[in-house]
Amino acid sequence: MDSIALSKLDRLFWLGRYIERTLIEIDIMQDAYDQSIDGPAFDYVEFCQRLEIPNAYEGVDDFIKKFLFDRKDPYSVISNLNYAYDNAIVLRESISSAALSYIQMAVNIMEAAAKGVAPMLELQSVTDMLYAFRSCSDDSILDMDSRYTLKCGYSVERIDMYVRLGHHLENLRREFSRLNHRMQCTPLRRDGEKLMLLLGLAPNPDPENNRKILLECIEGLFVDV
Amino acid sequence: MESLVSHTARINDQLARYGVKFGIYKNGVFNERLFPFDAIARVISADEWRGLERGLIQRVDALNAFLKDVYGPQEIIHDGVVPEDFVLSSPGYLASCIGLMPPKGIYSHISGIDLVQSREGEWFVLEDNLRVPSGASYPLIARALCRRCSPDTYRQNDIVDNRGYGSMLREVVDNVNCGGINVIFTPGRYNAAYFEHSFLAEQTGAVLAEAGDLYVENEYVYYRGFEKDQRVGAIYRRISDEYLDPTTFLPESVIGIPNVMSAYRAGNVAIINAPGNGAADDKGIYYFVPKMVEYYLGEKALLQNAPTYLPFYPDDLAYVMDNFERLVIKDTAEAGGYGVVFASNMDSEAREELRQKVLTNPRRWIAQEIVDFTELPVHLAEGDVLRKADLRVFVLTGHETSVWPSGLTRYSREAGNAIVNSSQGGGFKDTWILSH
Repeated sequence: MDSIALSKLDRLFWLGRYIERTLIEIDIMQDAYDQSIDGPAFDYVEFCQRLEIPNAYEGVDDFIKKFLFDRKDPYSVISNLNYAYDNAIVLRESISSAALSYIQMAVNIMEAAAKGVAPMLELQSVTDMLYAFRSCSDDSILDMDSRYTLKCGYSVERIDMYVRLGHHLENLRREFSRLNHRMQCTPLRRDGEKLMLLLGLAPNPDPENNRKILLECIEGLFVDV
Repeated sequence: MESLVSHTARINDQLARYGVKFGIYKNGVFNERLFPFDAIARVISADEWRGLERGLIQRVDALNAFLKDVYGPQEIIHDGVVPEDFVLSSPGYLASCIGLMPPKGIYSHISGIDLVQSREGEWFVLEDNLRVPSGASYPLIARALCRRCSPDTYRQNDIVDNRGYGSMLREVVDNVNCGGINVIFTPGRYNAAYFEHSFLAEQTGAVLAEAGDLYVENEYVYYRGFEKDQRVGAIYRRISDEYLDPTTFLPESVIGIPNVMSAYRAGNVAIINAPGNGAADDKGIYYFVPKMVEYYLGEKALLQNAPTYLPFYPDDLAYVMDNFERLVIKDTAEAGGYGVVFASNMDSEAREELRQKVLTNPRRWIAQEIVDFTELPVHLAEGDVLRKADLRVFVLTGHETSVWPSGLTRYSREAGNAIVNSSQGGGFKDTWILSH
């Protein structure tokens, strides 16, 4: 394919973002679930504040259940996975049936997990499928513009979530470095001012003090999507 | 085949993995359903297939000749073989296509011909689908999965490989390409056959495009690329005529390509299948297809229609009224298994109501003798059962007309039910053509 449509680049970018968000949230929820067994209660109120989503939950157990599996909750993990699927399903000829099948399986397992007796165990399989998708798509997406646009989605979401949640901050600089490389290989246009700010902050991001500016810059970095 | 059939559940799991689904709207809500697969294949011997193949090629060549004629000199009408009024009153006959010759004169590039086999082994054509026939992708992907599950089945039986459909389709599209890329144009993710659209794009290397991805400028069609736009030479559209171009057909269509008909008229893009093909696959026109074969090709039709009556003709109307209870009545305005009723299954009040409808508007209806078509075994957990099944065969017209050596065998959900459409809850089987 000589030139991919903007609409497809947009979907690839958001596919990357939603997959990454699902992976990070499952990781966090597995910790939260474990913590709820015998540790201090997971502070879901702060989690919602940091994520800037409404706290519509009645307690930590309600939060764990609904945040993971409530399809009506637009911020839930299952909704994020379905958004990933919505983007992927219209990209079959770009990402391949083989790669798409891993997302389909992740969706199928997530739906089964919602009804299952050991949902956390099954969530591991969702994670496995999404990592399998990442690996398979890296191989099957031949078009470099497409491949790197998807990867930019991963990086943007990862930085966004790290900054918002203070999660895996030790990986933040590495992710900036990855994004810096990936954005050279995507046709998506960057906002020059935001890019300069990000590059300036990358060596020492200090997300506690620079949260607002980091989020503004990363969210608005690509002007086309 | 026993080894293969033992893997039925696994094959269905694999089909779920690949998202082999069809969409259905119920009460205005879109739902996707898995399309149940039965691993007991329909088997057609080499000899039987050769006969079918010849008949199918003949039939599709005649239908293409008919379309070329009715949008051109209309000789078949002038010669009194098909009544003028009958052609012109067909809802699929589009005035905007009169005098319009598609690239290389091909109208129906991909024809889906629905066949049934009687208990005595005779094949009958039930329906010609020349607009947007769907279904090839299902046996195509199922075969690939079945081969993985039970390679010995394919090693030990001489089954013609059906996995070349993508390249056959690509040749058909390339044959009429007017210069530029090939595009599969889909109404979008919420179309009933979206799986097929995206799967065939992958199989043929075409670009999958939706409304907004394509535009027309100076009578050329372009694909809106991010860095540069690309000219489009052929559009395999998976959208009905009426939604294709809001400047020519339904103005309220938001899923079409404005002005694509002007590019088509100028000969700058091929549309596959050609707009206006509904004139030839109308349930009423079906009656005339054997006559078309004789008229255009000078040959006797090799494939027979199910015995059909057109209430449009007074003699046929009288026969239909006299034998109403034992006929199948079909509404020519409906598709997808809808509008097909077995008069014998209706209560007397409903039957009388339908009789009146046929009397009031005879052109809208056809009546057929019930073909007691064969039942095929279907594997269920509790044991094998018999279900009515039809066969959709795909005939492709490029440099020449050829038949894909496979087909979509659909079976009904309930015992005795003759409605096999997926939208009515049926499942599907692979169709094996034996090589000798």
